[in-house]
Amino acid sequence: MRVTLQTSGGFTGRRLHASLDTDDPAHLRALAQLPAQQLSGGQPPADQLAERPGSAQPRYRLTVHHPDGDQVSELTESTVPPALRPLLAQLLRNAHP
Amino acid sequence: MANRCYFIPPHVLDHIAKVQAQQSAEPSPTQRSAVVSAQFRRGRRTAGALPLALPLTEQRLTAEPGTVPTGLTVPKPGTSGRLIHDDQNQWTFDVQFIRGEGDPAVPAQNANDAYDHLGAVRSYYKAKLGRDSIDNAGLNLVANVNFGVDFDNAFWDDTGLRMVFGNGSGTVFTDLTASIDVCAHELTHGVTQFSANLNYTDDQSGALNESFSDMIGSAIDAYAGGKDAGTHNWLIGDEIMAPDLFGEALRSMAEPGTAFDNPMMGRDPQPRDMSGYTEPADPHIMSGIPNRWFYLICTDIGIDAATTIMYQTLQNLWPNAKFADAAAVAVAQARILARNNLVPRQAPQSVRGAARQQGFW
Repeated sequence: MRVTLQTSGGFTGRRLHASLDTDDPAHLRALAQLPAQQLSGGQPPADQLAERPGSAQPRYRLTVHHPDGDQVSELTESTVPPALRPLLAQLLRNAHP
Repeated sequence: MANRCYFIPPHVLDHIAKVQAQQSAEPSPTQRSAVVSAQFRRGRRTAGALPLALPLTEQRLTAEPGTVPTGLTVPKPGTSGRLIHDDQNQWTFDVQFIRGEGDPAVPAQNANDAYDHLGAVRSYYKAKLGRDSIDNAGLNLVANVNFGVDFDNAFWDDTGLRMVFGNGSGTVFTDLTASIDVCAHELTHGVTQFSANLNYTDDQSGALNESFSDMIGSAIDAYAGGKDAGTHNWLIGDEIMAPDLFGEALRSMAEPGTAFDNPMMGRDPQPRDMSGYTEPADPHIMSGIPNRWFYLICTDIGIDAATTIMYQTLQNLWPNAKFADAAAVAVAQARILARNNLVPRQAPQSVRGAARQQGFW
């Protein structure tokens, strides 16, 4: 399963991108626990963006590319589930502008 | 969590706050209501999306350590005391309390840097702006160092009310406690949360939120370094760049869009003025426009006067304010401050002229 990451926020505010193909059961379990904001591709609807909680924390936008559509989840640094850390760390190691 | 209903609709509160912001140096009760209302709305939204977030009324207002090693001092609540935690490269907060207010230095230099920088920022706010800590009521200053592994960032945790610093990866950034402008920037996000509470969204409110942190962070950096508007470098993050990126920075307040251009970081995307404005856009991108507004004012009337005006503006803005709102409030505050001989007489014209130059007046 392909997962893509986009970062933003925090002091640096850097927008980084990374993708990874993974079949690791631990990764898949962690991804399945994420609150899904959207299925199907593209950007979230405008009203959903406007309703984003305001926080200057680092932000991680994860997209899981399912055969039937994309699942998009946004997390702030303080809400990253521990089970997701290994996958997130792997993505961040390969992230680029 | 029960939904809250509001007798006065938020947009009416915002409108009244906007009018009153131009008439007084102190936030009115309506302005405070607009901010509190926005915080509750945000808390209600956040409760559904982010399981760890709490409404402000339920948040702890000081992060006190669970266990206190012998010999360390936990400052009393409301005394603006410092608490430094070592996260021991874990991805959790407040792992080990290692230094409290008045305690001697510890072996870890980054913990001492965080302690010293928090002290300097606290002193600046008190001496120059008359503010008692983040909430103007002596909120203790909590910092976490060594957060995560190779964490290339620092941030204000708006739910836990703490500042968090990574060690940096060593390839892009070094330890983020190394520079006072990081600490001043993040602490100012806390000040914003307790004053204008600007929405952190991909529009002008979000850009203003970022920009006020850069403005006051840069002013404190200049003050700590003994620089004036002519000698300050107006760069954000230049002191935390890794050796291979020496000379680069994260943002340039004088010339947005020129801070960096290299394969590791890409190219600085900040537009210089409103001719490059687009929306939606990340707050860190469009913040360059009001950043340069501040820079231009500083070069005309000095950093101290410009910072006083911007601080007063932050106290009188409201959550969904736009650039033009900030300019209108800043001019009004400049007039009030000039009338009291606290800033130069030409300050209102300087604020207005710089806003016009940036394209939002």
